[in-house]
Amino acid sequence: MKGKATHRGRIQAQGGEVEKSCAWAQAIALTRSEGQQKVDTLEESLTLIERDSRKEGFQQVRDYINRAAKAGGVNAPVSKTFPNRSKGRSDVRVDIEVITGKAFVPDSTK
Amino acid sequence: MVSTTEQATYELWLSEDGSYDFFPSTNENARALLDEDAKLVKLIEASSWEEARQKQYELLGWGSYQIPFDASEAVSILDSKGGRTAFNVNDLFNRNTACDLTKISFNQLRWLEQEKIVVPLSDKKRTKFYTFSQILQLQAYVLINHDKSVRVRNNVLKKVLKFYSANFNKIDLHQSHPYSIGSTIKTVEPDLSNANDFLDQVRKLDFNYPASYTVHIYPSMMDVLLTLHENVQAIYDIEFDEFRQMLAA
Repeated sequence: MKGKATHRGRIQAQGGEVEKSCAWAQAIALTRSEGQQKVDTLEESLTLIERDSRKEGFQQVRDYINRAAKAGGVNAPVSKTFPNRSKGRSDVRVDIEVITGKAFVPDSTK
Repeated sequence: MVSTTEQATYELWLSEDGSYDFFPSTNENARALLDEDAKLVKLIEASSWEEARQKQYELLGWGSYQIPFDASEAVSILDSKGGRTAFNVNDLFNRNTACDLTKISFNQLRWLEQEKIVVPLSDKKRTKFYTFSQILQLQAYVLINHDKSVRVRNNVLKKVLKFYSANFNKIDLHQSHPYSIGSTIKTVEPDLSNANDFLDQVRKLDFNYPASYTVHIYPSMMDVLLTLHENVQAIYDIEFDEFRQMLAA
């Protein structure tokens, strides 16, 4: 994609010795479905154990993206973090970070 | 983005489901997405988003905040002859391109995948794609494998290749060489200015296990980037020659 990447952010799986992320940097705001694809890509990059301990977190991330899209998207900077409380380790988490621009705009607006 | 010179106030909110929202007080759009049960936990003063995030991490005991690499910037190599190679770190490369760029053979690539040392992404049609960081891993593997006398255990090779995928955006590590002693992977500076760290590792060796005597020193990130650059330039030269021949015809 050409043009200045004014819309940047990342979705991360962190904690429990895991530090993986799926980032974006583009000229047009990330759409809801593109955001969901980023979540899928990140989830698929984890091992089964890493994925299992963040299962609820990934679903919460997807819900947040849908909610943001209904509101027209979310402006940077903002982060939303979903720690896994059920495993008793608060540092095991999934994190959305919109760093610049806007993200999770409704699909039809792109 | 909030100004990097003036202090701004950032708000940390906690919802009943245990999730955290974090944003500058001026971001009304983010505030509108707060859960109804969210409670304000802390106000943080900081001069930048990165500083604010670091303070949030410290508060919640999450360790160090990793400043995001500006993915919009390409990794660019400019040589003394003016040859330039640039990659967008967000690009994905198909199997043929990965092989062309790194000169890795299909058999080598298949073996790395079978051993789960490098695991490509795949789409619904099961077409495989490699990230830029994986391209660096493949290039490093080609360099390591070039010396047939070097035999590295798979688990060690996996750890070594992780060095290249994890650190390509850390300029201070570009000249460092990763090395392995047994299954321990560390880096050593080319001028051996951190030789004491290296010697400490040697002292820890268990000499009852001869295999752990072997110390391998691997290519630096710079070696890998330069090889990749040379490969790309070679491909470009061929295409340019073909293009010139087409013009002549």
